[in-house]
Amino acid sequence: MDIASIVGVDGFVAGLRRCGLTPVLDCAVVTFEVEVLGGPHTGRLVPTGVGVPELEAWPAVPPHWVHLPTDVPLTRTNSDVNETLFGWVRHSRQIAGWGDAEEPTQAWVAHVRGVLAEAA
Amino acid sequence: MMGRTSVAMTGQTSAALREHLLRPDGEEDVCLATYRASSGRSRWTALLRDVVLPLPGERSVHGNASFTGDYIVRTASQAATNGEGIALLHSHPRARSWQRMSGPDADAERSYAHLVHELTEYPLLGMTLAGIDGAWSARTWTQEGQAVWCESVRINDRRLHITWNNEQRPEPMSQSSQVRTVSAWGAQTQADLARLRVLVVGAGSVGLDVALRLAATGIEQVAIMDFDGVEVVNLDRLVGASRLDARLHRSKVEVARRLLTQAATAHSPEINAHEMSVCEPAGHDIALDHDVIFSCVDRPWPRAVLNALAYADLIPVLDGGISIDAFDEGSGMRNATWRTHVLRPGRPCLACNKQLDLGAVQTDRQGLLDDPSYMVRADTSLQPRRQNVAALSASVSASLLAQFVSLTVAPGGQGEPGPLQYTLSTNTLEHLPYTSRTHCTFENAVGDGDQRLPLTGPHRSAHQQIAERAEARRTVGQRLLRAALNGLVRPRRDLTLRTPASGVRSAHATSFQGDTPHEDGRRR
Repeated sequence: MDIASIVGVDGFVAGLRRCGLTPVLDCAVVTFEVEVLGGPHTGRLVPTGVGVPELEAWPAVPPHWVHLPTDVPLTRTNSDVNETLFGWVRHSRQIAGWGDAEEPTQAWVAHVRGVLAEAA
Repeated sequence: MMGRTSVAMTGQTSAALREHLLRPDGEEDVCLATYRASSGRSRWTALLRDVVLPLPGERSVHGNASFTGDYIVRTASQAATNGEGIALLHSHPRARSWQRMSGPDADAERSYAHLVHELTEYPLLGMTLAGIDGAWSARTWTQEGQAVWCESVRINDRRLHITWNNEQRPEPMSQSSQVRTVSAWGAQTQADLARLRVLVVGAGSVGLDVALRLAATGIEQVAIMDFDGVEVVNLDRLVGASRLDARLHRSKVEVARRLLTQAATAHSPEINAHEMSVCEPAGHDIALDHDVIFSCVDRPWPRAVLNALAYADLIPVLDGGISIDAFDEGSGMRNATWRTHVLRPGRPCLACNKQLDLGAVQTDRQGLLDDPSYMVRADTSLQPRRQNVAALSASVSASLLAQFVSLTVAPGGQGEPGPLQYTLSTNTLEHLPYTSRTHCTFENAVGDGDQRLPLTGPHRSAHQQIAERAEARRTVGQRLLRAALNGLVRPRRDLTLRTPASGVRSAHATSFQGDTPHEDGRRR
């Protein structure tokens, strides 16, 4: 079965598992931990998340907000505490799309790592 | 099921069926296929998916063709697993045009109608291929064994081939006002074109122009969809809209309907104006009732919705746009380019041909592009580009209409040409070499129909705009102005109005300075 044929939240969760990650559905946010590969937090395992409403049309339409705990601050950003977990902030970070990536979830994780490299 | 029914398939599916059903020995043949439903507001369409050819022993050819019950059960089981129905197809090699059924053909289909419905929960679809001209005819069967004839069968290819059921949708009478048009491509082509149901999404400079010319060409049913209103700032591009339309807070589709009604040459034109967003399920359902759709919108979300529909529901979508490159300091124009393309299986989707930023779809869908507090801190790349010129938007509509004629009339047998780009600075027309991405989610969803990706949802800014316009039209000044236009009140230069929104104002501010207002916005 083509990976792209599994859509929605289930498709995203399945993709994270294929990437070796452990997703958890916490209220209306899918959370998982990624290792930071650049910037001040290099080497740290940081929890991050995506709001479930943003995953309805996954992988055709990428999510917009990167959810992070408040102890991972990003400057130069639109951010708010709507539709996220207590003690978390969601940050506006647009990704253009997946190009021709066979595994969109991998592209999303790479996007999140890029965002985390900017964290103070 | 809806009142009107139809069938659609890709050119690839059509070719596979023809290869099996039109035998070198000239005998009739039979086979099965699966379909998915595409349910619009008033039309239900069966989208053919997989051709399931008979295994040895499952059918025999003996002048007529017969098949075993096992073949039906095997295919119905496969269909049921995927949430699909099944079609029973046979050929009449020496026939042309829409076919009625002989008694034995009807008996064969009727005998499986109930079983197939029980196995798949969808009606059995019967189809006949006429060998001489490749015309298809189709009917669905109720569980009780009643045939319900379809209105049309569409083949979505470089050319959009449609076989019309003349009893359900008769050929319209050609008009004396269409003599020049008919002379360009003949009476039969005109009759086929005129029966198309065409939707134009977006009633701006390009959409309005396109819709007007479709109506003038003689297409009987042209619909236009937009939630926006006419504003003074639109008048340099919205040809035909007046200052009065802006002052009366008229919607773009209301103005479009007035202009299209004037321009239409069909004997009984049906101009439908839909003041809504195609991003919402109600607007999307209406879109599914049409044979061809023009995408004349510039926002990412509606373009993504139409992009998905083109593949999932097999309705060709003609999309286009213009990009004007002005010098930053406002001292001139560097260049302008406009692009047009037909979105359909076999051609790259909007994302594959670099015309749609999928990340921006989510931003638009969440209303962030309409949120001033968000936009003030957003990346400048998200800021909308406002440049547009009436003299150039006509080139976009011209290119879209040329794509439409190529798709539906196929001059020289060529069909639609693929993505095109015109560059104004060098005045060059290019065929763009874009191809489809292997893992494109949109293009891998061909014929998904009602199992399509859920891209629609509440479009809050559309509702807000419609509500604000309705509120603005309720003021006393607006009511008096409308009454004056209807001849119920004679406006006076010294009449003073008190309106809740604006306090005291003189009547002539809303009634052309005391001149007798004229519906078309001119002074008498």
